[in-house]
Amino acid sequence: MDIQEKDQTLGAEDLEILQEVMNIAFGRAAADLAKFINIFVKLSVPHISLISKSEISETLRSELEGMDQNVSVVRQDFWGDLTCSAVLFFPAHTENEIISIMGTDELNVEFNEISTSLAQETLLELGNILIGACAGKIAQLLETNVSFSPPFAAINEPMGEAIEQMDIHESDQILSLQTQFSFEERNLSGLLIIAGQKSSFAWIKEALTKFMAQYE
Amino acid sequence: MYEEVVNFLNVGLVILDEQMNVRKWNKWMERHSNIKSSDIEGKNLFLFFPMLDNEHFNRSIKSVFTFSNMVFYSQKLHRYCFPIPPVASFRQQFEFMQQNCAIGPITPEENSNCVFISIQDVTNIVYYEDQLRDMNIKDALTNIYNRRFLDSILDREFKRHMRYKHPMSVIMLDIDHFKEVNDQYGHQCGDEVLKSFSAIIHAQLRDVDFLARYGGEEFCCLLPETPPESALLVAKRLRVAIEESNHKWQDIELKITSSLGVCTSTSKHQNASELIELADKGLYQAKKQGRNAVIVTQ
Repeated sequence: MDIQEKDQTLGAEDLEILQEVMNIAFGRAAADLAKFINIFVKLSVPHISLISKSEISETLRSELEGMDQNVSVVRQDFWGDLTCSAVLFFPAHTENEIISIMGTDELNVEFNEISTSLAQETLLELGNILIGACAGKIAQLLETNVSFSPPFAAINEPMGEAIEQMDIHESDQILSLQTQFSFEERNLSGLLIIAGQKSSFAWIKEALTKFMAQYE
Repeated sequence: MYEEVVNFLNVGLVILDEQMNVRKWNKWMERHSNIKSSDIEGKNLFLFFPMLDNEHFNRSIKSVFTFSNMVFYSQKLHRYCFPIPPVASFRQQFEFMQQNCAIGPITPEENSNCVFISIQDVTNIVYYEDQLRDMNIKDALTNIYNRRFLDSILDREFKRHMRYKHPMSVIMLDIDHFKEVNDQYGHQCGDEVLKSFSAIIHAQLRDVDFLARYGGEEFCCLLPETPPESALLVAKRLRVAIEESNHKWQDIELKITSSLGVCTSTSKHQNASELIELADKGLYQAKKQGRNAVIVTQ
């Protein structure tokens, strides 16, 4: 069986099933985050689309209205049957809120005056957990395992740069899984984009067929 | 079959099950923790490391069991995960080995869910980073902040002052007749005086204040969140502390005095260098008036 030779585009029906999978995956991720690690996050109904890299910035600009041109991001890639580049966007200047959510302000670490390490490392931890939770649940539902690269965080960088750094070819169509998230009782919300690489499309198609088979 | 590899790795490797029992403790961990694998394997990790039974560590482990993701325990945020001693050459500088750790899932087999923790010793990197940072921001002779660092802090604190409208003050101070100390006793003696002078000033300031060597025998104190009356009190206290202190070099004992200029930010100031300039004017007025004095400028 050679997966490469199969049809490598995703049709409307595939996207519909994927929407269902994402609803379940993100719902479970939010439930488990609350249950196991006391992070109470609301994830909006995910928006699934096939877009190009340049369209990501357009989407972001419309979704992140009211935000500065600068954003704080956590980027993490994961690979396996499902190879994706995930990026979590927060509005700029939300470091203190993030630190307070994670409770890292109580770690009593002496931070050097000239470094923004505390904010950066805290953003890394939160991003790692959120991306890990969402990606982990998607992988579980589609019955596969993924490996994670170490996450990378940047505080207050220009939005264009954040997108530029995503591991996507300019010409490629990608599968964009997008969700808005907000923290209960906190004044913090942001956007998660999981960009599925074209090379995974064939596998996704198969996995979706399998996923549907259990309901037939 | 992987046993040899696991023990040969120059990285600590620990495998834990869901009950926090240690399933694997590799040779590296044995060597650095002084705990034998035969002693700890099969037992609860918290029996050996009760301090790890904290919210953060438990949350990290649970996250990996729940989401099968990787959790990174960075040195920058946590310094270390396992409180084990550093290698002998760093025992002076560090109580515990500085570590970057990662916690990740292991594909479950035979009804047992496990996670692994990898522990990387980064003590030497942290040591060199600290050294480099110190060299960058401190004055080599007096070990207080240097001019470059002061400029960056001034800028930052002034912006904070603009944003929150809290007052900030600066004190410029200078050793009186310092040239005569150098001429009479030599530069080595002068260096000693600079050192003891900065130590005396430093001891008088709060932790939140910044003291920097501005150049030659001129120093600058930056006092965040400090209104004019308090800044004046601090300056007067500094003047007295210097006047009353004795400075020793070899068998020479000498007394010095200092002149000080104080300036507190108001809405009319545009940037931090204006404050420095004004405080500096006060300092020169103090010199003109006969030295060993404090002058406030606005």
